[in-house]
Amino acid sequence: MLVLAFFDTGFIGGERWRRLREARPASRQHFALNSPSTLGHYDLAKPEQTAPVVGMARQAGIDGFVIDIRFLGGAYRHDGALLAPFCDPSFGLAFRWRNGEEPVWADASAALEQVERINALVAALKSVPAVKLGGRPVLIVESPKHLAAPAAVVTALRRAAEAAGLPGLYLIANRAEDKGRFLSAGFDSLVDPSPEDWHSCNPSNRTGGLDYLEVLAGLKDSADYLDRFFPYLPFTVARMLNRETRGKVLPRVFASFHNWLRHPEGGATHLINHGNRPHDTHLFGLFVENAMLFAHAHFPADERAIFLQSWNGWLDGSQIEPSLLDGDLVYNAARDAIDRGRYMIRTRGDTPSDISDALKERIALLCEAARGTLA
Amino acid sequence: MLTGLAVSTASGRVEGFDFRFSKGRLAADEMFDSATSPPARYVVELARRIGGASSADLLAIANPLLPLKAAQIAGWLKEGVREPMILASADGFPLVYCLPRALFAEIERFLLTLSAVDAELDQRLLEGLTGLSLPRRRMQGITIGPYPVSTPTGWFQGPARQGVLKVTTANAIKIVESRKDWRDLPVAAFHPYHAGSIIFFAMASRDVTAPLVTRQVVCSSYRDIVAASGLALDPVWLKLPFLPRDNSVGEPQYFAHSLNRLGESVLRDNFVVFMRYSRVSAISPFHMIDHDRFTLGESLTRPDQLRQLQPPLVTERCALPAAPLKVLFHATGGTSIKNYPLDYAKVAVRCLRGLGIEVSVIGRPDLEPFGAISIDADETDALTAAVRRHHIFVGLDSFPHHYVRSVMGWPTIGLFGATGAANFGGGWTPHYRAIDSALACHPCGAETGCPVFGTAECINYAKPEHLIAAILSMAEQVYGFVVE
Repeated sequence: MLVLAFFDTGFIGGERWRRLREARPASRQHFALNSPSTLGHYDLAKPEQTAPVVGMARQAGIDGFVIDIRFLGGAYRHDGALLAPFCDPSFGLAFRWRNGEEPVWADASAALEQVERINALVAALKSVPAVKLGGRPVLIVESPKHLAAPAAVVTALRRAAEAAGLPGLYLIANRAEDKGRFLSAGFDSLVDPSPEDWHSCNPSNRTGGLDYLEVLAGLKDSADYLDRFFPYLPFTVARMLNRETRGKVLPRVFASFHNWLRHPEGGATHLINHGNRPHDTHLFGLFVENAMLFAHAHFPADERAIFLQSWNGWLDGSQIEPSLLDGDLVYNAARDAIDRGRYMIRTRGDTPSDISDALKERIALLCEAARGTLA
Repeated sequence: MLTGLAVSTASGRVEGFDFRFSKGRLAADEMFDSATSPPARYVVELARRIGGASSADLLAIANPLLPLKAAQIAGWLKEGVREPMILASADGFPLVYCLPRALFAEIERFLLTLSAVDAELDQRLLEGLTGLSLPRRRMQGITIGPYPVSTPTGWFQGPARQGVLKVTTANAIKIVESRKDWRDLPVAAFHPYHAGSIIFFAMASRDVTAPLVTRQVVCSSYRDIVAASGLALDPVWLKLPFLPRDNSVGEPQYFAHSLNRLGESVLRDNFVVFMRYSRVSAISPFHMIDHDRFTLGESLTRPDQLRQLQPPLVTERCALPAAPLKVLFHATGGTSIKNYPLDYAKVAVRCLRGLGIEVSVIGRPDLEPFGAISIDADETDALTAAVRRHHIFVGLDSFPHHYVRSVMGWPTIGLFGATGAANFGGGWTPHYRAIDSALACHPCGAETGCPVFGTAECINYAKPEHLIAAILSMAEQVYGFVVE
């Protein structure tokens, strides 16, 4: 079972930290962004500051970071080289390909250019200490719907990986539900989207025309009309509800999320806990350990993973790194939950025995028929 | 959070040891987390762990109820500690117990009667137990104040429960001060209910190498369960109905009634220790049998020592031919939130029948129209007989499930909804698996309704498809049964 954390490699130089320091909420309903404590305002270009970051992640039971790979300045770039010295077989890197930033992938007539880019993409993934699922380096396609021809892209990626001497690629589409589009196109699995991309339950603020008028009249905070506020518990429970029916979707877990900084004009997503708190470490722990148990029960042994959003997403409040406002609370909750999850998995054995798919299908049909008679 | 110092009085050398409650790793700096252990059990364990890692002659063991670190208590004791004593807060809450290392081991089982909430009582008890004069030093700068009903470290020791701890200490003092033969007297665990907990305690008692406790106060209405479960402790029968499950009587109140009921002779002849829940069980990932093994004296410092990760003590299977497969289903937990959802049960029964599998249900005539046969199994003997007529037992987090799985060792599938599969199920073997839907709210511990969706039933229960797949998988593994 792998626990992989999304990791923002933008903390090079002071720019990202400056942006965090200067961020000011525009509404009383926006949680203030937090600041680092134990690890400080690290600069990933300085190995002596990066080493403790990876060290703390490993102590928490995290098996690797998921970092972004982007097409910038005519080439695919990532910052894996900064983290590589601290990786080994027990801690590696996976990639999230920000393909949505490249118009070429939506253009069905740009096949030649796409092949060139795929070769460049795969070349950029080489020589990085990779974390593996199914024995292959992991690549998450951030915007699979942006691919005009997903099956062709997947095939080309696999060919390019083979040609580059990689043991293949484990391709994950960032989608909550397959609906026959991505797994059949050759993706190995899906991963639950980020809270901002998948509102898994109804918001607690349902706004209408009256709210709009009240905002205009200065009687109501505009954030209440423009943003969406979700209670954390139903939001996370809904992501686990009937999830086996959504296809082969790896869970994404998070302690908190409020991305108002990225939506200065409104439209932000906020997760709220009882008592108007940004996080509840107990509920977060339950989310993590149940996601691990689900992955253990439903996926092949070498494809079991959950994705933690995030290690250092300071700009959307999703970080689990120790912070000034929360100290070690969230970090410890993550570490404890991963420990608990791993222990429970250990009690269940490596490979829970199962029945054949044909028999499962027969059971499903019988149950459906039984439900029909009850109705 | 669990801490102490090893002090070499001759050299003045002080070593600090910090532990935390384990979440599953049981690493060198972690301690097993047992919900049924009173605070004093952790005093004993800290002394074992620190004493075992050091040759120092004096141990300073911090109160396990307090979130302390070695550096903190070293600071308090910076003037040096060279002799046994108790360090207390300004308002009399024990902070640190300093005793000779050898004495900790010598009086280990009697230390279970330490209150850990009243320094004066503990001083008097320790003086009686050790024969030493123990000064009680107060830290004027530290006032604990009212201890909260529950703490972030998992304790729930509000004022009423502290009363229980004080009474057990006072009783121990009375024994030590009035009887010369007190060293020969047994320690009795107060763990009188409920049926499932009696099973866990009994199985634990059979699985402890050097128990600190040799007797158990247990409700006399559970005689048949105690007999069937092979309790290795000597029962002290409590002639009181078990604690009502509707919270109409608190545990401390029940404890007080129990002492009256047990009478003077029992209290004179036994060091009674409260060993019902002192900590939140759900924050520990371990099975309750291991919780109870720790409580009874097992140190459990490595995962391979846990029963949950070892083969079960008992394994049996049905002697009938594999076909037709017969399943016994206990689907009633007492309240709607604990019951297997009615529609799920109907679908499961109908589907199993469709696969040619015979289904019996305990006390559920309402499921007969769907193809099940309802049977009665009110007594342990009747349950045992009914189980033996079936290949696989399916049960909720309640007595029949725990009895059938742990005592009978029968192939069992545990269904979990609002309660913790890790604590009360856990430990898969070919003969056992616990299933649920892994919702992010599990376990919530709700007793009256779903706190998330407001429904009467719990939606974390495994769906019929999942349950039937588990039954067929187990049937194939254990009996070689393959559905036609």
